[in-house]
Amino acid sequence: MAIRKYFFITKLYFERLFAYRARLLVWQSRDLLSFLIFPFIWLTIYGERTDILGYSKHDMVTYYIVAAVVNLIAMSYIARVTQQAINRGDINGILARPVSFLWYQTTQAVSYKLLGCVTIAFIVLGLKLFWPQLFVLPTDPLQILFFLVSLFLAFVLSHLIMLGIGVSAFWFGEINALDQSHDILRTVFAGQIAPLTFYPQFVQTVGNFLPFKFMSYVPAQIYLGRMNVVESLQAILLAGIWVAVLWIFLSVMYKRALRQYEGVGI
Amino acid sequence: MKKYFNIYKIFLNNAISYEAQYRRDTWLHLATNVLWVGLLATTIEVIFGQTKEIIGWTKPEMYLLTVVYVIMDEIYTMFFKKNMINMSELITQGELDLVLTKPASPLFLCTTKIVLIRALYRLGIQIGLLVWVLWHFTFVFSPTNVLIAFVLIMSGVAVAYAFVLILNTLSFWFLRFDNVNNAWDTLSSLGRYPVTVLPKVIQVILFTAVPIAFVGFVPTATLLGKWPVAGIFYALGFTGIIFFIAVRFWNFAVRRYSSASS
Repeated sequence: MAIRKYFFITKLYFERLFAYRARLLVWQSRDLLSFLIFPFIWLTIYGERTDILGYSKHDMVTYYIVAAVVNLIAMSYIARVTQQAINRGDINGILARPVSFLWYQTTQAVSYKLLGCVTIAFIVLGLKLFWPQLFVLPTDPLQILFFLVSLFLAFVLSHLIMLGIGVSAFWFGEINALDQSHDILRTVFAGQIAPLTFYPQFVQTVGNFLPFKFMSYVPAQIYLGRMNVVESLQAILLAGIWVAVLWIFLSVMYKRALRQYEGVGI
Repeated sequence: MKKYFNIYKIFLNNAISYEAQYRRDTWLHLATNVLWVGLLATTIEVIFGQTKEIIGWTKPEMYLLTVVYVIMDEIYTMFFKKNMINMSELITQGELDLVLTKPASPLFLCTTKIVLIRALYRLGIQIGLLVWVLWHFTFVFSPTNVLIAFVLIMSGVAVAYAFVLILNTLSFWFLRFDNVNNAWDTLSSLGRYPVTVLPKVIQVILFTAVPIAFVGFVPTATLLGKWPVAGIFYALGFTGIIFFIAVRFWNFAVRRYSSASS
């Protein structure tokens, strides 16, 4: 029964998304565009070299493609939607219904990501057809399984952080600076500029204490087969711990927020 | 002309009042901006950790390119960005009706109404950064190139304005199309890299249909003497053409606009 409820929300959300097709197309393109330049820069740097810090040309190009895929499928952008629901008072309507506000937001984010999967399917097909020598697909079933699990955890981590930023609107109202700061930190520490091993040692050390590397770098490493079974399991376990910590943090934060919420717009 | 000057004076006064109201937000944005500059520096350091140059661009030149791009982006943000973001809502919510009844150019009112004073603080920091880059790495520029680069910086901002105006004018046909501004933010950031690193087909696109090359790359290449004279004339000519097209397209859209509110 509960699942049917959220399935219905997904259906409604899809209808809304497809009502604004041009908007949808722009969002999906934007998620991919930021990765356009890096493969070309690295291909120029490689020149005649076959290897940089253990990465071949193929590895490097595949790394950015996987990072783009992870960005499209696993990065949640729910903070702003959550903030608007709080600031405009739309949350009141949701709280009055037999659905959880956080799950309602999660359903929206998942629905959008499902569309991202369709876009990715087309892109992977295109790459395999037109650029097969530079884009490597994994063949080991265990590697694929670990990659999919890491992808799922990347989404959950990203979503929990974004929900946290969105929920902070209960106190701050405006979350723009917080959202932008998160974007910057994620870009650096998730390894979206380059694999983390290319960074200065200090940045790598700081990155190890943050959850961001599980949002792009780790899935890409698993995909490229640069992590063995034990390393992959360790990474998945660590990401799981981060999920638990963030989940507890968000739950406490949300409960406190609701306790002091005054109901704007009622 | 005097009328428009007076109107703009009112916009500036409003911007100063707004700024006084949201001082905490200004500081937060300033901190975010410092973080962003850190991200840009990290990008350069990571790339140049593995090479001495990229297609003729050295690390100091990349720093210069990045700072010029950041300054151009900030000028655009200060004078036009918020107006462009609001345009879609203005059109789809029917608020444009009110603008059309006023005795001034609707394009002027729609695209210059909001000035972000906080961007001025950031611009100050960024100009300081430019001075640091010029002082830290020894560049030698010809005075002519400096002058032309300055003109190209202004024309680059005009290109950004015109192109984003074209994109936002599409809101007359497509509903809730404001996210083209986010797409522009992402796309235009390509301007902080030497776009000549990209395949020829993409380069052609970046110099014509999606004119990102003019924001950052062209002025910096000119400053460094890496850009041919013909390229300078092309950049200036292109600015005039795209500006003309943007204004005509806006006027065309306004003529066929039927109120959305009543």
